[in-house]
Amino acid sequence: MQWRKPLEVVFLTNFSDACFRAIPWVAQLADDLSIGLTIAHAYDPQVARRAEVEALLSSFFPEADHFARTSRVAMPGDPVNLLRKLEETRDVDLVICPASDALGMPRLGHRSLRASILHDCGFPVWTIGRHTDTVKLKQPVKNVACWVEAGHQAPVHLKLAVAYATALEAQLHVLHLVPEIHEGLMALPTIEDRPLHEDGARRAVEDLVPRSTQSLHVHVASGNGVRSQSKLLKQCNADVAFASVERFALTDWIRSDIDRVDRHACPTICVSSRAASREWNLLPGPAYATRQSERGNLVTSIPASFYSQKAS
Amino acid sequence: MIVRDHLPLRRTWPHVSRKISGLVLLYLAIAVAHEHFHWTWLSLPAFPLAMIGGALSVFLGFRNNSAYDRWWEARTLWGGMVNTSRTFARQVLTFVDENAEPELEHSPRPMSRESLVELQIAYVHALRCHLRKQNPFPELEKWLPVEIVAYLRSQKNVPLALLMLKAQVLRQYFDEGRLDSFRLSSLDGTLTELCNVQGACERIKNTPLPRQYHHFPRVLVSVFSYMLPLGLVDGLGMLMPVAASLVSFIFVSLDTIGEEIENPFENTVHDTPMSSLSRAIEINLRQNLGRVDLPPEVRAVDGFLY
Repeated sequence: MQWRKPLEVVFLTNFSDACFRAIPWVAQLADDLSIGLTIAHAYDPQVARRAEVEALLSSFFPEADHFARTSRVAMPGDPVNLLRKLEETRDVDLVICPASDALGMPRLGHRSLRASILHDCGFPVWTIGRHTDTVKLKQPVKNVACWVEAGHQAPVHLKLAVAYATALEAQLHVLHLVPEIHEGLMALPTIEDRPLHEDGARRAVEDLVPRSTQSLHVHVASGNGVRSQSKLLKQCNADVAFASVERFALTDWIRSDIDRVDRHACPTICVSSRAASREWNLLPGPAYATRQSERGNLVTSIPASFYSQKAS
Repeated sequence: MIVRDHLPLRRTWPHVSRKISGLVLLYLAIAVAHEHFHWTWLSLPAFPLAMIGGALSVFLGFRNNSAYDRWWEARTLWGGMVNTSRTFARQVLTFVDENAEPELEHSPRPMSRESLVELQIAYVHALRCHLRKQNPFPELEKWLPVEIVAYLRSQKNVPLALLMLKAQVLRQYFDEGRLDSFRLSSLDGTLTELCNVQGACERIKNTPLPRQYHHFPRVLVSVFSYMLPLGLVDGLGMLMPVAASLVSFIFVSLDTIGEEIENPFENTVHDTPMSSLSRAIEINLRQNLGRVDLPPEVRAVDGFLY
């Protein structure tokens, strides 16, 4: 049996509204899983002094001081360098970062922070946009979705999704879209080895998923584009989705597909193929014991020890 | 809560960018059509529009006043929460006789006064999370024993369950003879006050502003913004988009402000600063307990206090 360890989360903050909006999700994560949280801020030394930045950082997400393991790091430079330096001293399993559409307007040809982190560091990234569904962020994760391409080897993000769903005892929904059939597609099977029929695709997808995976559902549908993706995510009532960088164009002409899916369906954790060596053997959090007791005896009365026990 | 004087564009613009961008494009199209293609039918007399604008201002003012009342009441209630928490801690630390021995030889030693004050800190944090619909348990783990947290997980209303726990402890103090009936009554009054504050916060959270106040200003502002260029284009010509955009910005902003402050417990920049206030209570109460390892105060981040 592999050694289980806490999920090391780095929460990159620029103190924007989007960062504050992500706080409930992190609180929920800290209850569901054992996590080590690092709240990090990269600053420009020409603009701000270290002491000022550290004061701001200590006032951001003050609740996290009560979590089991939280640290705060402020470093001069850009966020990607900050992550690289952090990696030298600790594991980084997941990066939470704010969306870079600060003005709410599309920026043509802009390379997002998410794209930089995925490309340069290879950490899984969850981006908080202004339009991320806040209701989804506040509820326990019960359905984890994962986009896969049939006919390939089991991708790294599928392994992470399986680990995540298993630790949370959530339903895992593996999703695949086969392209809509048209005449131009007839050439595709000759250059790509992937099934174009739903049944064939379903079998190929099932082959990718480890046999031991519990609570697994495979969803295959035909369609293209964001609308079909959102529809499938809504169908399985996904609370969070895992996707590879290749699945969603990170920098479209105007806005990335992933942002549109975020907006219409659920938040998405984006994983780069550079994270191939990454594995999550997640340690369940404090809520796990309660989930166990819910199956047995729910603690519905005040424990007798309450009266004689001193709080920590 | 916004505490800075100057609001940077990068903070305000995203809230109105979609509406204003669309309107500016429409205004430009109307100005060009009117001035260059001589579509003179694209104009209306300005007088009726001025009247509609006046009436709309009154309507928006009334709606924003109602929204502000909710926001201010929420802030006042949390001010009351600070005071009542301090009162509760003071009463517990001065009223409860710590040295009294249990009357029954084998009865368990009840929770200490310090732990009861820590229960109050846990209560404040739990109420903040309850109002923001955030998971409180990672924080409560710090203040309470595991089995109590397990019990609280079974409760729909965690802060209310904590109030009940506090009342149970006080009752036990009374049974042990560590608290006389007069002091118990006084402490119970403080608990009732806490319960009232919680109930009032829940009322604001669960009862939205009448939807008519939300829906009609939005529709009327949109209609007015679409009609405004028709009233101005005759007089201003190609300068119309500038003037109309400014007027529309005022109305759209007023509508957006009202919409955003009407919910003061939503973890936005317009929120009652509950994180800051609950930290202030924590510092005060821990200091009352004689602790020296105090957490830092929560200060405004970039001019916004949460």
